[in-house]
Amino acid sequence: MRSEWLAQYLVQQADTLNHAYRLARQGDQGDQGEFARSFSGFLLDALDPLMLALDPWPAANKAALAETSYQAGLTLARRGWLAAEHRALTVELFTRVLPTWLAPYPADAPKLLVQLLNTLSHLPSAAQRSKLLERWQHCNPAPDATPDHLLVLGWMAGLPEFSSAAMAVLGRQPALAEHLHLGEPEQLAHPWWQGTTAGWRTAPLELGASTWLGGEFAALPVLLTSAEQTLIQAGDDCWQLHADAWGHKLLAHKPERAAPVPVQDLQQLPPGLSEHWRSIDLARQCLERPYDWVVSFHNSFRIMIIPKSGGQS
Amino acid sequence: MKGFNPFSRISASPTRPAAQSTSSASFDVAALVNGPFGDPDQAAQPASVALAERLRQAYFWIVNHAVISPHYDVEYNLSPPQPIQFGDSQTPLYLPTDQSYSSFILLPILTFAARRKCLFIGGPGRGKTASALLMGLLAGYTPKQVRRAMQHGHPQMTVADLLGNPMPMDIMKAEEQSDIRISWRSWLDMRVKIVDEYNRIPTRTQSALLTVMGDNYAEMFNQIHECPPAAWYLTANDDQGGGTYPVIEALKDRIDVVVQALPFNPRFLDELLIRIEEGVDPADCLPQVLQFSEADMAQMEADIRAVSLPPALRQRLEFFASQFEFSEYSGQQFEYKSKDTSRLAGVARHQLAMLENGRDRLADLGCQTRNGLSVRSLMSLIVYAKAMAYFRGNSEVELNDLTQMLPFVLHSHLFADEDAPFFQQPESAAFLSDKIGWLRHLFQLSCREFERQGRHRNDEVAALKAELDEGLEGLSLKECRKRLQRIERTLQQLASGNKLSGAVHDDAMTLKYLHQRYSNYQRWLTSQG
Repeated sequence: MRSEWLAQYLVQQADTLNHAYRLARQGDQGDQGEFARSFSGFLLDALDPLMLALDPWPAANKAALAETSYQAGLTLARRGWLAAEHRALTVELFTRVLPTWLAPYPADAPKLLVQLLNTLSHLPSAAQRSKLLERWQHCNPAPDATPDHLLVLGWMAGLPEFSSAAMAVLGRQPALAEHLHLGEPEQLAHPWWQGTTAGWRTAPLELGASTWLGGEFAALPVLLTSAEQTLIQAGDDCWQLHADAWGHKLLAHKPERAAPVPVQDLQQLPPGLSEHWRSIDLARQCLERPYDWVVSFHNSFRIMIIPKSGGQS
Repeated sequence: MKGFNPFSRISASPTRPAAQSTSSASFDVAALVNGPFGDPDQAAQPASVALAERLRQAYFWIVNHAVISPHYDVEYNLSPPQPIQFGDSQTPLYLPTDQSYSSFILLPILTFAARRKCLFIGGPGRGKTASALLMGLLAGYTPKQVRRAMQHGHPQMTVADLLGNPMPMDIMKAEEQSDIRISWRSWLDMRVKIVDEYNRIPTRTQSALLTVMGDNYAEMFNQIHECPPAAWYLTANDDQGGGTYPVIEALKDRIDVVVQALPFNPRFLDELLIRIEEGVDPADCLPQVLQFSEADMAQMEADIRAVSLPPALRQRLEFFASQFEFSEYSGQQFEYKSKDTSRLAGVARHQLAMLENGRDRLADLGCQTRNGLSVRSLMSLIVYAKAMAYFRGNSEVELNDLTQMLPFVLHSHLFADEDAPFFQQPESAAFLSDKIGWLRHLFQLSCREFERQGRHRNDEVAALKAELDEGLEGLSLKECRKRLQRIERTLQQLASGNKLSGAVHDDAMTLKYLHQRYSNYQRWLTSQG
């Protein structure tokens, strides 16, 4: 262990830290040996370099951050973020991102760390978390600006449900939009605009599958609309569809007071749409929205979203 | 260096969120920065939480960390739950549609908040003492303090063992009893008092315990020691007098609520195994934020009292309570037609039952019990229903709060008559051993009868009583006569249209009382000229 301070801290707090560790293990049903290995790896490869880098901080601030990080490490271990495929990213976070970002804010560090980790936990894949961290390193926001940055970067990493809140932030802070190369406000309002570098997204995206193929739908998905939302119903379950250039998601939804209106079965395909699917695919419904079409396929239990080309609404 | 308690991590999400708003297009940023890694604000310093929320957090902390209790027998529902039938007896298992609770933890927590008295019953090794110990920790004591202050009942326990000893030097020197100073036992000053195996305490020591429990003071050699208000926890392996000494009735009557320790589910053996292997004792590390100060406890008790009991619910409770004391052939005079009259006279129940010829002994709920409800048990019931509403974050008691609390409060206050026709029916036989189930069923039957009689829509007696409660001042002679006539008319209607039952008896007694009040007033008005 390279951080002498952390070594002393761990010895002084051994009893209580061991209790915390045992409590975390109690709730973990996985391989206990693997849990111990991955967590000790976290202490050595992630927490130790972080505390070494922040060594000049006052002891009280270091203790507060060490406590929060220790608890966070136990949660990371339980959520599999210390397993082989995610480990490199987690270590990168603690050794490269956090020391630079947290260094100027000793008092706020525990809160900032928890905010960042919680946001990362919304992103299911390591690739998405990596995307967020990559952009994060270019911003390193101050404590006050952190929630706004988390919102915008979280949305860009694949949380489309936060798009309208992110838009509101970007409207308030044009400098942030500029820093992220997101272009002009009118372009930003378009859901399929990916910024000045990547331009428009034109490729269709697909989501959903039947439960027996590991998807969400236990029955044929049916498109519904309600109060400007696109809903998808399969059996007794209902979801709200969120999709834009940055990602797509189905969020469980309870139909609101205004009853959702089912989309009519397909009479005639809009011209040029069918080139996006195979001849064997059977499209049942097609919903035209301002910026895209949503098509449901009843032979494959899936939904396809086709952006309108060229960025026109 | 900042003190670090690993168990201080408490779920950041509210334990009982208000009705969730439907998902909208935009999301609150708080939803993004909160998550499995805890509450960012708590990472800096623990936020102050409202008392009711802390109480719920304490409940969930105990359920999740301290006691392995997978029984959720206090059920709440938002919509009717779908029963799943099991076995030849077609026993239904209900999946509750609202947050439901484990009585073994919930009732002690409510006892703690309302500072009442709780008895744990159940076989050895079911966690009775461990649960009582956790309640002591909630009051801010260390495990060592609670363990040392716990009174363990045994057959040689003397009053001095329980309360304290006189100073030996004072005994030698004292000229009067009041000169003898007493070294009072420290447990008397605690805000949580635990008496383990109270049915093993000799009768004389039980009487001393009764004074402390009932009147909150201890007495020895003419010296009085006032005790602070406290929550009491008693444990017993058996509630039916199976201890070393029979428990005196008055002591039993002081107990507000009885909780039964349910058996351990072997499916949870893995958790026990980890505890043994890791040497975990979560009871040693209750989070500081879940410890309640004396002021907190006083505040909680006041808040619980402030929860309102709507008149509609009170009427249901009045109707329920009126069913049991009445016994038509126990007395000649109307006022003495109670089960207590025949009990005091030593008349056997079956002799009275033989005299019955009119009423349907199966339908009449009063026939199912051997006794009526005491005032103390009704008070306990109201307090626990209020505590339950408070625990669920409500300012008003709901019907289900009453339904759920009633069996635990009346467990040792209302006794089934095994000879009653109700228990002879095959489908009701299990109720003789399942007292909680029987009491809950009894209240539900009472509510059904209440609604059948339409008392929730029209209750003439309640209306007349409400009129009197407004006061007699300024009431004219004419109006007084009118009301007297109405009372007499209502009495006539009661007498002509109904069999004499508990509810009718109580209504008639109420009307007689009203009649007295008005007729006395009328006499006074007439004498004034």
